[in-house]
Amino acid sequence: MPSVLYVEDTETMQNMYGFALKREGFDVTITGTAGEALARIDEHQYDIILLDMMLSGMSGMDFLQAANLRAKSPGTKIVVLSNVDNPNIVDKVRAFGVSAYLIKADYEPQTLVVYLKNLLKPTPEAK
Amino acid sequence: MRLPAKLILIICGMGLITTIVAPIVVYVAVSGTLKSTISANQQATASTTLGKIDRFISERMDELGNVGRAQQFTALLASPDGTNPQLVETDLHSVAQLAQDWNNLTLLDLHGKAVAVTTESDRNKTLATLESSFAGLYNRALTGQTVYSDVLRSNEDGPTLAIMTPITDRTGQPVGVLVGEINWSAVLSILHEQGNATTLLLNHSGLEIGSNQADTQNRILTADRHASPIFQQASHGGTGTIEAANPDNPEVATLASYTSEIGSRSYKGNGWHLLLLQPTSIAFAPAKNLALALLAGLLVASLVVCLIMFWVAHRLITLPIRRLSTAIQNISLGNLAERLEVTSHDELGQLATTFNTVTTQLAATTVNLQQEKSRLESSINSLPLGFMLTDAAGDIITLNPIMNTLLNLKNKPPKFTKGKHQTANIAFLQQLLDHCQTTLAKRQAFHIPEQSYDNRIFRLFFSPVIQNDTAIGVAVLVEDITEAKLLDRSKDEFFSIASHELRTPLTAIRGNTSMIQQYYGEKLKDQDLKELVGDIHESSLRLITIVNDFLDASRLEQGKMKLTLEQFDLKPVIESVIYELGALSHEKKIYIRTDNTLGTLPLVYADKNRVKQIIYNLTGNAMRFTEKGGITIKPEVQGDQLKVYVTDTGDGMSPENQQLLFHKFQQASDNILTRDTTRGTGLGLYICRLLLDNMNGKIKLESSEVGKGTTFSFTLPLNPPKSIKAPQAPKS
Repeated sequence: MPSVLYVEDTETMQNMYGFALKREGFDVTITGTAGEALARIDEHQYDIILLDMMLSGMSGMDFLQAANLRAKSPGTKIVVLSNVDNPNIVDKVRAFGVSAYLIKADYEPQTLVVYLKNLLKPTPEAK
Repeated sequence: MRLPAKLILIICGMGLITTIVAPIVVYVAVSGTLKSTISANQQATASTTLGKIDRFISERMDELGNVGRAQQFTALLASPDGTNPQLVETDLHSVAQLAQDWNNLTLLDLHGKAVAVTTESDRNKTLATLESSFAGLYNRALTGQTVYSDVLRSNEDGPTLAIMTPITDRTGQPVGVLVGEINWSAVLSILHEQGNATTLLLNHSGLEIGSNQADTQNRILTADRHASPIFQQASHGGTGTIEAANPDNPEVATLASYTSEIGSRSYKGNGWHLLLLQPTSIAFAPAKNLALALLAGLLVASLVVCLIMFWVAHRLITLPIRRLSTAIQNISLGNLAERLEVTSHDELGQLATTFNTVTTQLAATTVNLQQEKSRLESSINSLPLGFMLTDAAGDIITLNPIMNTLLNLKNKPPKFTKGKHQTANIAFLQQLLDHCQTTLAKRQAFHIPEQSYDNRIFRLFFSPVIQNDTAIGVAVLVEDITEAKLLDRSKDEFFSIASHELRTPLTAIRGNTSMIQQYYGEKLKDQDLKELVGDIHESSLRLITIVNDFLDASRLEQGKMKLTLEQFDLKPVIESVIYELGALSHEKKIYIRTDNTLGTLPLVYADKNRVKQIIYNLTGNAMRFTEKGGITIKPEVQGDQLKVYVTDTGDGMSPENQQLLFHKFQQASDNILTRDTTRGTGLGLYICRLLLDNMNGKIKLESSEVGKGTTFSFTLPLNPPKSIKAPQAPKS
């Protein structure tokens, strides 16, 4: 069962994407803050970290900076899922080696699930 | 060299030639003429003088002949004892003393015995004792003629010339001879009548027989001049004048006239010659003096003429030219009111007239130019932009006040040179000047939409100033767009935040309705409920599209859109669009198809997702307006571009509506209130145009006819551009 750490502070989003992921068979851990997420990745290696950008307190970008995931758990794929599409931010985030930067408005929960499943296939079809 | 100086030089040159040559010619001519006149005069004097001597002797012969015809002489000789000789001698004395022409008169009888004398010492002398050379003369006289001798040196009275005339009786038989010895002093006095010239009387053999010199008595018949060249000349007879050495003093050049005796009446001459000798220095002195006086006079006259000529030339030529020159200088100093007084109708007068006309025109033109310049300057100064003008070397000529403020220039020297400006923004100025150099080199205008400097953002325009195909400078416009940019930025930030805040609930609505539809389909058996949920889902989709369109347009306008340009195959892009719109087309019962040559297309160079967005947009639009038939997507290679046609069989557009295409918020519908029927934001084609502008492509309405359908096309480059172009300014 693929494990997903979903970092999201908006409850409606937590519920919606969390529901779909759980329903489609993902082991989903949801955290509301980046700080909590940092604590989780020290305990567990996730297959996927689903990361929102706009978070209260520490932002998604701050998390990427602090996590240093490439060294810590190279197997973990990071997928940013945010409604922020400012090109500057997108560029900066891509520099951290994330697998994808997805706009929530463009991804219905089912589509996201399909996307993530594809991502985890042995020959991933990276977007 | 100034013009008057040149004129003086020319006139003086001419004057000098006239002044020197003319008098010399005159001098030579005059002195030559005068010399020949002097020579002729001297020669005439010589002839006259000798002629006088000849006449004197001839007169003496006549006088003696007349005296000898007196009756008392015959009587005395016929009867010497009966007549008192005393009376005869008294008569002879009176003749001899009458003019002091005679030394003595002696009456000889047929025996040669003196019967009456005027000199007591001669009394009782005979022909033989009287003078040895008399005998021959006496005999010739007895033949009945009055005869004369050559010069004789008599013992007591010095040189003399004897004349003898026969005394005859009634029958004509000679009875005696009257002998007269001429007083030689009378002859010498004739020679003395000559002025300064040395006068020499020579006999036929060259012995001196008289002169006007003081010691002449001592030299008579002793001083021999036959060897002198003058005598040699004279001995050939005739008269003449030569220049030769003085016979007495060979170092003195002498003008010598000679003449030979020609006699007078009964006196046939003795072959004498008269010489007139004068040193040439004295003889020709008057000629020389006269010629010199003439020379001096001519020199003075020429000089005066020269001065007058110069003065006239100065008045007529140099003065007007100098006035013209001064006037032109004044004009060059900016005094355009300068006019010349026209004083003549010659070329200079015409020149002055023309000059005045030209000056008037120049003044008018200058006023116009100044007005033009003032207008231009105030326009430039009142520009809300910084303006700078450089010359062909790239140095600054003009700055307007705003530019000065922008550059924060502390001083404003008349001409700016690179690297010499006191400015806080030297680096910025240097950048501007570097761009000017580029503009000059390329001779092409260009603009930099955005350049940050020192917390300010500027928009820069560079345009070469071209004159006669040569770049003579660069005009630079600097617009401070900091405020506008800040506004844009805050607008962008606002959009970002707003869109984020809008999208989040929309995402929730979309996602949740979508999951209801998919996961709880069996619970939506109520058709009305299913439709309600479907409408919510569809509305959320539309709202998301609208938000996305607004964000795209805003970012494209600000040049914030980040494009990932790469080479890719268009085939899967077109196919995915057809796939995604498949459901809708199926629902509307229209077709979407493409060319079957898709597999052979070359790669294009563009942003894959944005190209998909464009095709999606065009196809989606077409679908909205098409109720029958369908849509065809047809790519085609054209040169180094790929052209994609999207053709529908829909409503088509009226020509008025066609003009509004590709503009912001313009949709091809007549009324804003009818917009909803098309279900778009009106930003779609506008965004397509902006996207293609940024990918070196072009969108075009190929054709559209109401009721028949519409064809749009767009192009994409096949290869990356050769040089990276500065991004285009957004057009709004």
